[in-house]
Amino acid sequence: MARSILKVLTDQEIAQLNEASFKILRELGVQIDDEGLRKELAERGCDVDGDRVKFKADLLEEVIANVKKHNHVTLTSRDGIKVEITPHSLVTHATGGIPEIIDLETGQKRKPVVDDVIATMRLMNQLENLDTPCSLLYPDDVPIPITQVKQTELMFRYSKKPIYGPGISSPGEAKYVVKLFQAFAGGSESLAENPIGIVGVSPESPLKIPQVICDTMKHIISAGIPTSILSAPVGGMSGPLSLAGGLAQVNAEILAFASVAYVINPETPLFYGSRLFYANMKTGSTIMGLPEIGLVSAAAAQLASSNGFLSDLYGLCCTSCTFDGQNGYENAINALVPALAGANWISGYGSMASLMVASYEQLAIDDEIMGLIKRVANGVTVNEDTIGLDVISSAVNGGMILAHPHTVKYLRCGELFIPKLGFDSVWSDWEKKGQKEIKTLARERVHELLKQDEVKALPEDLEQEVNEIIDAAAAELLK
Amino acid sequence: MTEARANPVLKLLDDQKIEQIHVASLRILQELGIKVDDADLRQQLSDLGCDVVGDRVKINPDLVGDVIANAKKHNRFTLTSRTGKKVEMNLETVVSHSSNAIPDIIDFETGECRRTNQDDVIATTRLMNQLDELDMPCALVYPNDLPAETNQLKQAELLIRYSTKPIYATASDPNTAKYLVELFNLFDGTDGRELIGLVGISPESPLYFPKAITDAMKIIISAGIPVSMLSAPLGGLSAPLSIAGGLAQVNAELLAFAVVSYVFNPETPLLYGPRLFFANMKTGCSILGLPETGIASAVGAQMALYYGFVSDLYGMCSTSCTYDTQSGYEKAINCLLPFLSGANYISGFGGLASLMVASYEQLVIDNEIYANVRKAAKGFAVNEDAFGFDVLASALKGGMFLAHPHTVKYLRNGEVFVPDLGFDSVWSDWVKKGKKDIQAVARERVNELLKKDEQESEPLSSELDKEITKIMENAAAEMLK
Repeated sequence: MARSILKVLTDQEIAQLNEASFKILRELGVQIDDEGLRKELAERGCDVDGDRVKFKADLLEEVIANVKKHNHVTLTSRDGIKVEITPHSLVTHATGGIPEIIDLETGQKRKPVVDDVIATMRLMNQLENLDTPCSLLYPDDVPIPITQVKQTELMFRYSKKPIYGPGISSPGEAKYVVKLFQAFAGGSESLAENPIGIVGVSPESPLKIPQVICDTMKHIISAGIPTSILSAPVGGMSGPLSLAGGLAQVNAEILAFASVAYVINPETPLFYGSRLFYANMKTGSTIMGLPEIGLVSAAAAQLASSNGFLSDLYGLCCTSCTFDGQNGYENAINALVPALAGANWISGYGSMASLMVASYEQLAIDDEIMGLIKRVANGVTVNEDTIGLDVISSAVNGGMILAHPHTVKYLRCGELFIPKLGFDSVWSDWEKKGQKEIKTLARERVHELLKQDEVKALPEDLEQEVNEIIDAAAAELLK
Repeated sequence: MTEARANPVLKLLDDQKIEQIHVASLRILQELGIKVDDADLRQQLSDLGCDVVGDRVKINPDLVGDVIANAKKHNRFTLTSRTGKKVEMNLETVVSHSSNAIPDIIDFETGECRRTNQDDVIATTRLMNQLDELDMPCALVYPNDLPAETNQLKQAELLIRYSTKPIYATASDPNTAKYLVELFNLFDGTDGRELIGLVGISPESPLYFPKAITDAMKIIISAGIPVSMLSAPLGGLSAPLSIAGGLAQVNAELLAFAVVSYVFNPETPLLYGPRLFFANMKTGCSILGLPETGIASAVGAQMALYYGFVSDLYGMCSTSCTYDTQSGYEKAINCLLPFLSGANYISGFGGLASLMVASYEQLVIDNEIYANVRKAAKGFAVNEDAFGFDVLASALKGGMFLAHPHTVKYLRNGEVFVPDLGFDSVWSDWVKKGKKDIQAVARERVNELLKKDEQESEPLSSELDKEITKIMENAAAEMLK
């Protein structure tokens, strides 16, 4: 079945939004700090006005046509696990770089360390609905100038799945991240054609690509590492509060970034990473459980598709700081709405408190929520066999539906979701089993899964190469 | 300012697949038919061109077509509560109601699960008066301290006495139906169309209309009280396990119900209530938090739209027995799916544990979930003003988004959801405020709302009180012999 079965925007509204973004790019333009890139864009027909580059429709159309050629991406991990991302797929990734974690033993919030990055990577290996892990955490025991390099290294070392690399925002680190990608891919292979993962790079909102990001892009995009363009304005603070206004701006920022990437290396696959979000406007604190997150992500899925991009969107998000009903409804709404609207890649595993606190238990719970969402996205099969007139006929003639081969057949082929973690029985059973809430079950599951995950040592030559890269990065960046 | 646009539309099935289910249901009705116990009714259906074979009535597609065409003429009505609150029901509205007759409740004081009683019906009804997202209450819990024979009637009486909103009653026998009509008639306006509520009636699955049900239907439908047709088979036990099969059967049962109603009174508005649900097939226990509940409801909403019926569907269902993350995600998914698919009437406020345990706190939490779902399913303005080109241009010149009139305007107009119960700040604030989960916040809210309802409640007029009491005495005298 078609992946996009929910229309948040009509085709006409999509056209209007695209036109609004084109107008923003044509009339307001984008501040691009790199003079060389401005010059190259000028050569491709853009008007350069000081540090602002104003884009013409011709170039944007050319960029969009090129994006469409690169919208089937297969990521292959070192262990051979493949994740295909196409206009029809729905794959998942974890949140990245969360600054705090709820300790699995004490239940107290604390700063995460490298061991947490490793443990959460190993846990994510075992989550069946999680396709690509991020470095869920920001390790506090790693010096800041090499954190992104270290996160990338840990991901490649411990993940059995292709990785969704960290957000890269410094050119110094980008250089070593590229080296790590090349080392783990086996050196000679093209990262654009046979990628083992991707990274995210963010422009600044509104409408700015600072020098460090330009330089970061030059490293990453030139190397062909598939890149998610993460445009993340806060509605009402760094973008209009109106949802349509925020979307028009995000769409403009992503198209501008894609144009710059096109100039650098047109072969690098790009993802449409709308990260539009909102705040509690009374306090100014950004809160990620608002239903607008899901709604604008759904609209962004449609916009991405209209411009030929694969989409990479917010999914599981909550404001809740604990494992309560609010945590459940916020995560579910914000993941389900974009999933139904055709999102190709959705984020959010493992986070609470508006992406500011991570949790081992939440990773396991989010895997269950995604199981339900993937089941919904699979929809309903309607044909003569599923309609099963014979079963109904047999039942009205005194037959037992439960024992009918039709029932057994559909049960076995997964017509009904079978909870793996969630409670699936009645009150009396719940009492018998100790009145456990899902957090308790998740905790038990985390321990089991971590036991199951085996860590294999890297081949000796790769180990040596990786260590050399990290040493070189430390030597250069920690001066 | 921002004009509303068409809401998001979810189509789990395309039009051709919906048509395919319709055709399958017609075949079920024509080839298998329905079992009807009442010989007179069988004769009436035979007179309308149905084939009667023993106790089965095989319904021809032409009659079904006529019935559907007629039902479309009666899919718009207004309910008016005792206190004058109105609820419009038609294909463009979405209305919420609570779960019904749940046998156990989590005691508000002790937190222990116990049998429900009439005081719980009263307290939950009063709490529901104060929930702004809930349009109509059912008797959320089953008053176990009252006799079974008059229980449904008593539930309706308590709703009438304590609800300030229009009510959702149920009837499964003719005596209950008769006195329900009397109770409803107390609120008949001069034009005879002032409806205080509607009544849900269920046939048996698969495809069976027992005499008690058709007798109850005859009384309620003849009186012109809108009826929600509730077909509730359990997939794999009383309907095929395959969702499409279950839906084809449910659809056949609902169309048959509409045909029978047509015989009694073609003017009575009917609601399309597919309530297909599923079990944990290892244990046979029905569990309502499965996503298939929402999937079946979403397709049910599409089927209702296809025919032009107002739909009445499962919404916030959960298997979870506590206020945990599971209760949140199950309810959200199962409510959001039919909502996005064009449902008109959505159920589920107040239930936990697959609708077997009710909870005061859950009623309040469900009010918040419903608000979130409603916002997620609401369209947003896409036009020049909303694009906010000027605000962006001003920001690029050093202006502040936050202080711009455009921001203030959209903020005031509700562009971004403002949680009413849910936590809406950051971790440090959560710690400062006592690390409360939503159950704890809901608990405080329950107390506030019950107090508020006490202050606002107006006693029944003594005249009305007397009339209700008289009807109930007559009912008891007849039904509790």
